[in-house]
Amino acid sequence: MTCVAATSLMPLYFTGELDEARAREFAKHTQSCPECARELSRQMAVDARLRAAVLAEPADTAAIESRVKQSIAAQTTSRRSARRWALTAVAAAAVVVIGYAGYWALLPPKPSPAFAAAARDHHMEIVEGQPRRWRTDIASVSDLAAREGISTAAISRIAPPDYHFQQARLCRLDGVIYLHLVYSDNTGTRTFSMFLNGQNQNHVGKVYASSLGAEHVAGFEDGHVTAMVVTGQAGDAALKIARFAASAI
Amino acid sequence: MPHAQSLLRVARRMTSSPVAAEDLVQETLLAAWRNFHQFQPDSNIRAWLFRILLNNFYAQGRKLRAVPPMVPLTPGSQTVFPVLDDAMEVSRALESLEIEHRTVLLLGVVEGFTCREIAGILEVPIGTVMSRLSRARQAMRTRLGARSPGVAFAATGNLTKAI
Repeated sequence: MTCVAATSLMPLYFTGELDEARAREFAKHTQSCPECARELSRQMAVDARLRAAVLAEPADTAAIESRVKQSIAAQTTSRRSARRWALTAVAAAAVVVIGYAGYWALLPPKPSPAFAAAARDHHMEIVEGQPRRWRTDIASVSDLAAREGISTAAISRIAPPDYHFQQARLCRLDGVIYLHLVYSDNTGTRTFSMFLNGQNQNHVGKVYASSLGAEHVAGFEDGHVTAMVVTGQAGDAALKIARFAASAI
Repeated sequence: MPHAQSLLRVARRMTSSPVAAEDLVQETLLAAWRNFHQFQPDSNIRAWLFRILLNNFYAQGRKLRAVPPMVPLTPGSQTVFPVLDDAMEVSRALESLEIEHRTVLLLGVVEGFTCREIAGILEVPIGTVMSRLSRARQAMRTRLGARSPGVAFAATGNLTKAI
């Protein structure tokens, strides 16, 4: 190993990220090269001084934590009352829709917070396209799906025939982990999210649908699986997709 | 709250005042609470918190990045507390670094993140992290000179201490 190579690897040496072979070569070089050995010990000394200087300063976070807790408490209260208003509006709209079109299935006594979380998640990640680490290869998605008791075959089977699987990741909605699968049609203009949880905790209810902001959500339970479909497509697209998935799962 | 102290330590060295640092940490913890559903359960929560902190920091632009305020310190006290003297000298050297260099030193050397983790936090390639770390260490050494730690430097009458 040359001195240049050893110097460039020093950051990885300090963080213990050199693989075994490179660590061996690095050690061999620094043992035989006095200049690099000196460089290493100088850097270690500076690091030690830096750590000591910054860590010596007390960091009292009690005041910050108390303000954060107060803010969370205030936001939770106002969200609850906002949600109550939203529920009343959604319920009123749903009554009109049921009476008018008759296709909306059972409405739950109260929409699940998971519904709102799913709608928000879909909006931020799919509509706004915030950067996330998605898995797109079916092999690694199968691993995630297996945890939720979903077979690899089911991943493509649960989407209507004009849609195909695009990407997946794990997410947390209302404190519960879901597998977030994204599907789109061949033109890429119609997209939906499917959130699946294999440990049914009865927090969704039977098949039902709701609209939250610009997103339409439909959920169902089948055995141990809880599923929610979210899409920005108007009308009853979410409900149709959910019904398709419920019959295919 | 876990990791709040680590966040505050780093925020203080990056922002213009203790108040700005506290505000930044408070914003970070609230953003983490609001967006907890986006946290990937199989990933590192500490790295995730620091990513939020740094995103907030950069989003707020240059207003947070002024040089920390300095207060005069009596020259006589310099020689009484050699350890404190060294901490002050190191602090001043750190504060004079470019923000990118300061950030990687704080994350890598003080907070103990790996290069790979820092690359994830800053959303830059790992090679960039490595070269920034090398240059940052070099810059620190240049500023600190060849002097060994613990030896008090001469009082010049305009000695200052970062608060």
